[in-house]
Amino acid sequence: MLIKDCVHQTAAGGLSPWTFLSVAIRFRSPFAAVAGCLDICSYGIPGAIALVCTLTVLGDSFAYLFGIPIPGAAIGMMILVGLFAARGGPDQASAMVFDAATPYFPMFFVPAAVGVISSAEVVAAVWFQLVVAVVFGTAVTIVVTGIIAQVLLHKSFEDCEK
Amino acid sequence: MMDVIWQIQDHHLFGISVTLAAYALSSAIWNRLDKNAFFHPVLVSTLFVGALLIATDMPYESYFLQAEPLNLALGAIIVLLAVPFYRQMGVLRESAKPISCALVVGSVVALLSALAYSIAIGADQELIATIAPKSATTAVAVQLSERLGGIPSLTAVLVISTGIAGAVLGPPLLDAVAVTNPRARGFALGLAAHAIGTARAFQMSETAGVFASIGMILNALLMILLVPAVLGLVGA
Repeated sequence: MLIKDCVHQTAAGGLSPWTFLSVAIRFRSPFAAVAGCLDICSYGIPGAIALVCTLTVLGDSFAYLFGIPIPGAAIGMMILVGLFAARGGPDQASAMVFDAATPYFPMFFVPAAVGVISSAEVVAAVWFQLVVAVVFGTAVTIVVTGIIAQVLLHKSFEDCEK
Repeated sequence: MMDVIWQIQDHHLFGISVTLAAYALSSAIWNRLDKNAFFHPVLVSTLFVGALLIATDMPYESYFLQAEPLNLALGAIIVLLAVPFYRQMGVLRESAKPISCALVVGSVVALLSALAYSIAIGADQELIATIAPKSATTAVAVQLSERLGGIPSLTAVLVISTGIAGAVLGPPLLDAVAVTNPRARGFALGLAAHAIGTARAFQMSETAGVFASIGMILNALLMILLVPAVLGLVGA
């Protein structure tokens, strides 16, 4: 039941279990699929995208299974860092997909941001709080972080020189 | 005439094509304006798409359903943040201690300074969950807000506004408090104002840019742990 829920949840999240299945078929068993993730990178860009989607699915299922309130993709990212460490660096295909997508990252959140038109009432009611959070919060954060980072980094730099 | 409009709006690719076209147009405008932070393409294209939906009387829900693949790609992008994270590993190891100290202080300050006023006047949980993740990079912030019962679309707008505020206010503020070290300037910009702040830092220098991306990534990671914890405390 739990597993069924899990599959349903990830499918409802829009990512099909097919991505995992395709990896499983390629490597002949689900266990080998996990181990084979290290090598899937040699299947070029489709391989890199399949790996990334699979890790998102796994992360989401994991978070759902254990009721952890963090995005599954963040768990997927940590797994990927682990995979990179195991293989001694990012594979060419993943790096290529990342570098190609980087300049357009902001574009992907336009659909979510447009939703603000349906929360116009909330914005009208609490706009002052929002402005305080954005302007005051950001200014304080930059000043405090800048000062602390300067003191600490300067100190470590001096240590290096000695 | 209305029939044709409905036909177009019902097409599964309508949402994506409108979004991409609006973004391409906004990017062109932004380049013309010398990348002025106030005209960030996300802000402008959000206005374009929003205006189009209102003008054609299209419900947001049906637009979002069509544009969902773009939203899903956000998840893949977070996973891919492993690439820059791994690339900066050397710098991270070198100055692990000062960076982690500055990170913890900065992230806690970011969270508390954003929430202080709202908590003080007793805002409800939904609003706090919406505001809390705002200094994390959007992909992470939106998913956190969704998970914790906030309003993801409002969080997205807050994150972008935060980035713009940071990019505009950041450099003069850092000058005012005599933070001249490019590494510290970059780190502060990336931590407080994510990708938009990082872009601003890269305009200052390569070193500032690298430290900004470190600040952005580490802050996003720490927020994943901090935001649920702080919300738990506030809710209890």
